[in-house]
Amino acid sequence: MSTDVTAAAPPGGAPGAGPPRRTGGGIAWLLRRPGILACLIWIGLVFVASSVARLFSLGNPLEQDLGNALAGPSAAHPLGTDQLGRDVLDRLLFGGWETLLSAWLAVVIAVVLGTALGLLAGYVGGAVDTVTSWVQDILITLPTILVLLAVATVLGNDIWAAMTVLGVLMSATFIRLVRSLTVSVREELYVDAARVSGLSGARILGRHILPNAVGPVFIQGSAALGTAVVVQAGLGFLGLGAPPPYPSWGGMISEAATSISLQPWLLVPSGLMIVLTVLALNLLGDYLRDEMYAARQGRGGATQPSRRQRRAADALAAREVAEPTVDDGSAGAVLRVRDLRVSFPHDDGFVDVVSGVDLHIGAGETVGLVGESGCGKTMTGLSLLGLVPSPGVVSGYIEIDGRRVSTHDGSFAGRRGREVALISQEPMVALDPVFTVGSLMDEVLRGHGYDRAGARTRAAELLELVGIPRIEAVLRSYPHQLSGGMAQRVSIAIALAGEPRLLIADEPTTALDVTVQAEILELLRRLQADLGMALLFITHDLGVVADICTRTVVMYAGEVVEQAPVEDLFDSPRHPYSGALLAATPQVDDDHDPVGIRGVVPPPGRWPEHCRFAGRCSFATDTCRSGPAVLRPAGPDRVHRCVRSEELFDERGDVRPRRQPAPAPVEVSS
Amino acid sequence: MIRYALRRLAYSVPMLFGLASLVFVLLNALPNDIAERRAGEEASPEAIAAIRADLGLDRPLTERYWEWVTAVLTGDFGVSWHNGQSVLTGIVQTAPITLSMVVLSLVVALVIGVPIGALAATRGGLADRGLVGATVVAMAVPNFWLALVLVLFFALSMGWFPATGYVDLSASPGEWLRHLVLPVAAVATVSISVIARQTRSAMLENLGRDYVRTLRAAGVDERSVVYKHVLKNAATPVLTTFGIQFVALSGGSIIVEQVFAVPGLGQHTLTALARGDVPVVLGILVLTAAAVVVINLAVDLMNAAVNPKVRL
Repeated sequence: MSTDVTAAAPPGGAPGAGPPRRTGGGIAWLLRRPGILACLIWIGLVFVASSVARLFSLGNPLEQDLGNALAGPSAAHPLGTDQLGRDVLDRLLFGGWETLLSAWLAVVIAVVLGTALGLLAGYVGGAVDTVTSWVQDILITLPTILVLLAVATVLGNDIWAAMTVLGVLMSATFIRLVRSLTVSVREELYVDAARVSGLSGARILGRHILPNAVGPVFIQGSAALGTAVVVQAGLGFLGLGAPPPYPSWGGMISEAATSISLQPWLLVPSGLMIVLTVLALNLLGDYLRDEMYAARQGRGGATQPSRRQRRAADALAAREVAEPTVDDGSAGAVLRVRDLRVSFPHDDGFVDVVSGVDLHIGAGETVGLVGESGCGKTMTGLSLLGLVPSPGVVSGYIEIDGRRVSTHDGSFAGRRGREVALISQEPMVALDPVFTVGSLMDEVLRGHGYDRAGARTRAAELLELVGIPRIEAVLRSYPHQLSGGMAQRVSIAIALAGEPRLLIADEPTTALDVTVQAEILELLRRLQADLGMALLFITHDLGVVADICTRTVVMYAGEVVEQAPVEDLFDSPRHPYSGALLAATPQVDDDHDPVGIRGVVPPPGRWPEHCRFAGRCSFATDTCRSGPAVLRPAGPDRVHRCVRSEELFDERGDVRPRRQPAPAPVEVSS
Repeated sequence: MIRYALRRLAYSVPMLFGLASLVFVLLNALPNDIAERRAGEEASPEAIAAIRADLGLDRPLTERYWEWVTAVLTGDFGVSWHNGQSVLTGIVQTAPITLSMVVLSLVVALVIGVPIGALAATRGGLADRGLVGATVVAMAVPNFWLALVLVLFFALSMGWFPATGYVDLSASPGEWLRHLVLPVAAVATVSISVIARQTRSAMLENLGRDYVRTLRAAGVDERSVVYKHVLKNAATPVLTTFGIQFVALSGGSIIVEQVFAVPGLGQHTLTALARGDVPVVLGILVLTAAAVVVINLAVDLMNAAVNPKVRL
């Protein structure tokens, strides 16, 4: 998914991958979320009922009926009576008012104090931040119940004072939360922009930072309210609540405890009342967090696949694709892929992120897979390793080293590392941080059948092969102690440990410095020459492709749009997208400035039936939008998917597509 | 590693000092009527003043603070206002009982919580939803109420465990354990849920990391990926909350002790509270907070041992 928010929206097309607009008001939104609704109803019910009972003196929590003590539920006493024959329901409601109100007091204090200190610490930073974090650490370290008991020792039985202190103690959570939010927002561009434009600190805090904190604080507040209710009840249980004969929820449980043998039922109303109320508050926080997370991810609330989706997934996985016919030039190749699809759940079905890719790579051949972010390159690569993340479904024909890979029965196990291996994009996070390089390599090599001594020797050999100096020191190092380039060399050594026939390199140089990039490319070229693997090189950088690849496959919106030997593609692209990518690549021997491609790749699910590039193509006509664009052969070992290719590109090949109009500043990479 | 340890220590010592000072001020500077309450309702103003003078409450706060701090540094936490017994003696007599409950609960919470979290994270689907649902419900149950329900079923009805009381470990290890089963179950339940949830989310987060993909791509056995690599990485955030768990569990023990009439720190505190015995309460609070600081320090050092990145 593109993260580029500055790019112009494609003309007449879909805007980016935002969440679908919510229809209807808050009520409709709530009705679709029964969990949240149920929590709100219970909390509201308890609050309203206890307030009404307290404020209008409905019922009588103090009236004794000794002849009717310890009775079970009846018409006159729906929840029974206690040992003095007092009505349990009346007492619950009467006590609930104080419980909820004092819990509310604690949370309000915690939120106000925590938000203020968190904003201050996060925004001002420096010494203020240090002191605040110290205060917060102290507040977290103090044992809550003991502090409240100590306060009661000094101040006597005063639940409001106790809950005020609880609020101060609980503010630590909010300090931490708001501080980290403030720091992250402060570092975002728009606050800088606001500062440059001369807004005062207070206004920046109020207008830009505070709104970002409201959601998380509210969610945390809901959970804190639950905690406060439990603590308040605990104090009541210990005898620090409403003084007898007045009821409190905790006090009622301690009264129930005295007649636990005579009337165990008494434990039920007060206990369930606390459990349900706290449960509703905690669940509300959990649900809202899920909603916020889902909204941020641009998805709807539901995360579990529906039954229809599961059936669709089964149907997809069962899709049979025949072995490629012999005449497509792929016979004998290390990798043969035909009609590869990778699909993810979306709305109520599945949507392809890779749709019908054909690919083959011979031994000793390096194929570059290029395209912008969001075109399905990485998913294509991962599907060849059986590593497409969980809800994704892979189908199609995949054959590695002469043996078919079943895409859905786990037959990848035992083949990964030996037949196909991966080098990934960010070397610094690609290695397990809590093991040394030596123990990582030992484990991988032992998995490939080496014994302890053999693994040790082989690890050193591999590190030498990838050009690592001071091998012993590196073996003893943890990944974070290595530079990016060194870490990537270690990654490559690990990938080579099982002597794979096919190596998939997913943007292996993107995260590295330019000079290191060149070294790693040189290393891969050398390894390729020495070891004769098939190498799939995934990148968005055509310069890198020119450097290392023999053949290029250009992907756009989940499908191959052009495939050609590298030289042919650079000399004479046959698809406007390839041409546009070339025009966007800076070249030393070219006096043209690189030109961006207007718009962004439409997200999966918004891909048109006709030519998928038409929405962004400068040459698109009605013909392009009249029907699906199919792959057409264009000379030996070349195919493309452009309907107008013959009209647009002449045979000599040095003509590039005309300059694209409206060169909006677009990042080609993500 | 030693440098890291020293740095943590340099943070913890002032922290401890700050905590103790804060607690002292909280208990001594708040406007209170403690002398009035100790004197009783009918007391004359002179009698109240005499009590104030007797307790030293008429002296300036700074003077009292200085005296207390210097005494505490030599291990002297003062004497009880009620019976003149050394504060430390009272704590030493009762704290081990509570501590054994807390430590047992922590062990139980780990031994049950971590596997539950790991199971939920790796199984997914129905098992995950069931386990997460169970932890949500468990976290809403107040420990003292759970304790009463446990007593009702397993002590009063079944008779498997004693309903109240405590037997010293040295007297009979078997009876000691039998008396602690129900209190520990009541106290540990919330912690089990918290640790299970933390383990689950830490593991899920780690399962999505690049290094997991690298290990899988290199052909490392899936069991090793999950139970060696992911679990070790997930240990850091779980370990970090040990201090908070300790605080929660001691609070829980103090309340649950009342249900089972266990003569631990909780009873000691409540007795002191009822008597308005400030030095005792102050001593308990400061020593408990100190225990938390020490545990946090130990956890940090443990973390640094597990995760080399922490040492930076």
